[in-house]
Amino acid sequence: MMNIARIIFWKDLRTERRSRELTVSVLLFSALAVLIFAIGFYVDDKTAQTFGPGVIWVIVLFSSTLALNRLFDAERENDCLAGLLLTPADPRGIYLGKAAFHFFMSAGISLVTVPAICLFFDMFRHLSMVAGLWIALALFLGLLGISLVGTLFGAMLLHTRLRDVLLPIVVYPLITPVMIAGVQITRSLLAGGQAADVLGWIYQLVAYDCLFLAGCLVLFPVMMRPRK
Amino acid sequence: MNADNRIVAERLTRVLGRRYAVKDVDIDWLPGTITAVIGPNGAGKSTILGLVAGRIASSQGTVGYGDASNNTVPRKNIGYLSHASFLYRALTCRENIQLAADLHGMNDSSRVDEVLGRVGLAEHGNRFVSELSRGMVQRLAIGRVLLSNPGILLLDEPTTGLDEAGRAWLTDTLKDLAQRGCTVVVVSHQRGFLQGLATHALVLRRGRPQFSGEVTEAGGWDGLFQEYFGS
Repeated sequence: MMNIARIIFWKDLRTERRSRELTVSVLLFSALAVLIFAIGFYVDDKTAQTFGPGVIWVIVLFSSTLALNRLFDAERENDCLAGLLLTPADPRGIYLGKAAFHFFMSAGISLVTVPAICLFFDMFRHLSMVAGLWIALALFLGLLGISLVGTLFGAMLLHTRLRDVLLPIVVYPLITPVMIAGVQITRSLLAGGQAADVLGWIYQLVAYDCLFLAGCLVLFPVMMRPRK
Repeated sequence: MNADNRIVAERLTRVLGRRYAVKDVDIDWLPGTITAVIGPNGAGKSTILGLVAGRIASSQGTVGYGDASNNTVPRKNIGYLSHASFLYRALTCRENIQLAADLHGMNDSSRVDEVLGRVGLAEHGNRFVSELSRGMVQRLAIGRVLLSNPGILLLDEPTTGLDEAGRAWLTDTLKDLAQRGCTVVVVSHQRGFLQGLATHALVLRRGRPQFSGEVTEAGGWDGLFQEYFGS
């Protein structure tokens, strides 16, 4: 299963390295969103601290959704997903490879956008090194959760006409716990909270990821099976 | 002959909405035979292939592989050529075949070049699929199917885009594979191609089987077409 995941991940990385379609479009979107939020919400330090955590997670969510919408573009052409599923390869490996690629892309883009948000909202002044690392961990776990859930439904809605609209409608309710935990962790740490204050939320994110990893690994082969 | 390559099915049925895509089709395709699935547009030919390949689920009846009791699709032993090529446009010919080889768990990288050579694309290995002509894409898709040396070959309109030489090559290849014990099933509208290839036929009309068996039983190809298509 892991070998198949590795094959799919490298295949996606290779095609993305050539076209850069996903990177460019998501990065441009994220940059614009950062600018719009900065213009719209930055009044002074106090408002920046109030809205900053929410802005970080909203932009992370929107940009990863955009990446999700394009994640299976290559598989839609020439019905390649069916081609993959008709090979003897473990479908769970195919799922894991796609989810890993989405996570890799979203994390890479967040590495650019999150510091940019912190810069625009003047958050670096209130952020210690340790707090920054905890926020990075929260983002890592949160993005992992988004990738795990999103990839499952991205594949399921692949041939749906209203895919771009349906995907967020289906995925967002499921990733609400990630958003709540992520915003709470970031807000608490920006307000000078300690690691102990956010540990409960971190555990919640870990539990969420474990639960959805297990669930999606079971559900993906079932959802991809031809229906009677 | 390898008995694992036999395909059997009884009263195979697939319902689409309110109509039958195929209804009550019995199959007994033996290793070493080449069967042509023929019929007018919408007769259910591609559906039959999809059902056998495991791409479509049956509404009634099951497909048995080797014997009727084994209903698990032997993915390693089936080569399925669909209307869609299953090829990534952003990958090169070699990368597409290599990907298929990796997914089949094949470690022999020389096999990729061998397949490219076999389908006449050895010199085009580094070209992207998006740059190929329709005929070359079809050759590559056939190469992807032949890659794992499957015992069961299900080919839906394999001659699409192929020139005269390509069709002749495909005929020879499929005959050779059948002689080695493969079960070959071909859906095609090209009578000339089928006449030179298939020994058995399954005639479908509106999803219902009209004839199933050796072509000679129906008085040869002329008799078969006269009887069921009026020409």
